[in-house]
Amino acid sequence: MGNATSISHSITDTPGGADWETQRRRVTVTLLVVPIAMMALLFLVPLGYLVWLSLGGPSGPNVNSYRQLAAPVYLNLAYYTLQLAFIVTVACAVIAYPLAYLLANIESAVSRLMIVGLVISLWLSVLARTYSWIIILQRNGVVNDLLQQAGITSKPLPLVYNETGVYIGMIHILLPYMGMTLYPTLRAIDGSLVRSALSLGASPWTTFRRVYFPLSLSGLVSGSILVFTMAIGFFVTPAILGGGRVNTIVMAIQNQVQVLVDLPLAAATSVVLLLVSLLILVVYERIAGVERIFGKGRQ
Amino acid sequence: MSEYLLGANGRRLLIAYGWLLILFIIVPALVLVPVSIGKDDSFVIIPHELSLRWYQTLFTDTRWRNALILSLKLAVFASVLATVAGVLAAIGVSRAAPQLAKALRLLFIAPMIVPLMVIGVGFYVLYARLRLLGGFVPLGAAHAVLVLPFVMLPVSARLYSMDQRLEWAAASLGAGPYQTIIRVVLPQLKPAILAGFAFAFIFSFDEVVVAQFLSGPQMETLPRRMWEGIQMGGLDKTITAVTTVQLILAVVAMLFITTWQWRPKARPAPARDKADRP
Repeated sequence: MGNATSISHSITDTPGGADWETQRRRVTVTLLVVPIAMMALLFLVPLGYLVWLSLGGPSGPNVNSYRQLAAPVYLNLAYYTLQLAFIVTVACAVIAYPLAYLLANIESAVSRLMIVGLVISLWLSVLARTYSWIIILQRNGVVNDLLQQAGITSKPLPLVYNETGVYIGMIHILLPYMGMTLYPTLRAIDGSLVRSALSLGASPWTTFRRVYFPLSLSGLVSGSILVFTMAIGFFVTPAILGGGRVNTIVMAIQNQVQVLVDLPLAAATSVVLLLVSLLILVVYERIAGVERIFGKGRQ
Repeated sequence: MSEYLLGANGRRLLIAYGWLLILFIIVPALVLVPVSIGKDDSFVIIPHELSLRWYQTLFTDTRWRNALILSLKLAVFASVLATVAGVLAAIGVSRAAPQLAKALRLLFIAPMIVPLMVIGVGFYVLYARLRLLGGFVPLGAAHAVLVLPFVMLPVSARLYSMDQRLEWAAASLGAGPYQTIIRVVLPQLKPAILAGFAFAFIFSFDEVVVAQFLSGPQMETLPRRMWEGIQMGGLDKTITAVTTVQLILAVVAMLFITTWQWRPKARPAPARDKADRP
């Protein structure tokens, strides 16, 4: 298509014509050079180096580090991390579903305030909110004060620096992501379908089960994938609220680097986690399209 | 749309549930604000005596102040770089052939999906080899890649909803390709670019995992300083002053952007498919 002089003639070309197309393609390539170079240099190279290091680095290709990973301690860690992420995801889905239903279907002050709250949440510091939970949940914190004043317990409950604290903190931080993915899906459900089912004699429960819920499934799936991925890689919240009693695979990686100083092992663990997250990314793209993350982009 | 499946009681119950969740989602974000203006060392939610001494520490204590300034510089550097690259990437991807666009979109979004710890270790081993640990520009560049998706996503979304005929009109009126981008496309992207920039800034300002690996002993960013304080039991109330400043920053940025985005009148955009072309 086109020829070398197309640029100088382009002004008189019809938009959409062959020369215009060629020129537009050339501009597209020029635009992409900088961001692609940046991603290659600052994303693919570090990760590629990690893969090389995990395979033995300078001492030739071998899978020694991966063999180390097959030890029971790492298998248990992997199992524990997946279990933690799974429970957090299910909890977020169960908590967020009625909430998203409320936001999508009932006009009230609480809905408006909640939408603002959810959007602001995505903007707030994870470190700060994790720290808040220490203040709220600690031995002489607000929750324990209230529980004792209400006579529910006589001495403070251990709510933080353990698994309970990790679950509370992770659900708090990941819930808005689930909510903001579910809400647009539920809002897009055509109310006339629900009305038809009801007028044809289906009970509200049957209508929900056979009509409403299947229509909301796509949002539930993409929200769950998003939350699950974030939960697997979560470091700040479990590290702080777990108080050393909760160990996940990312915390093991930090330990391998900073305490064990076994970089090939840390690299191998990272590569496994990298492959898992890339797999999830591809699945997510297949199911929902990555641009739907945060509920933005095409619906 | 109104609600059909629940009775009046069910609806009331659901609204009560909503209020309960507001407590769960919003209160932890706000609880440190009153704590931060309490004069004494104790972490009480309703302070006995008010004082700004923790803010004074944040802005005058050398270690805290240096960390604050370093983090501000880092966030500016990273988010400016990410905004330039992210906008170019979004425009480029929106014009690329469908298969290529799909692959590129996955590449540009990947830093958001790959765990920070994995990216952090990758940079750590590479920078250690290249003797780049502890440098401002290397850390800023790493942050720029981390926050690039936050720019790319809103800008891409905006591009999809734009009327492509404006570009054709510009071209047929004699505008060159770059002139069209600068004078027709970019002005329409402004709110999305601003939103992406702000989100990128806030993320970098809060990032601790990658910074911990790359900053070396001498470069202490604000989140790193906070992290250390929290690990020591979190008894330094200056941390509550920092979180309050972060909160104000985030809320101001968000309000600024939402008012910005509401300003342009949104018109239903025609589909961007080939059949549309003259």
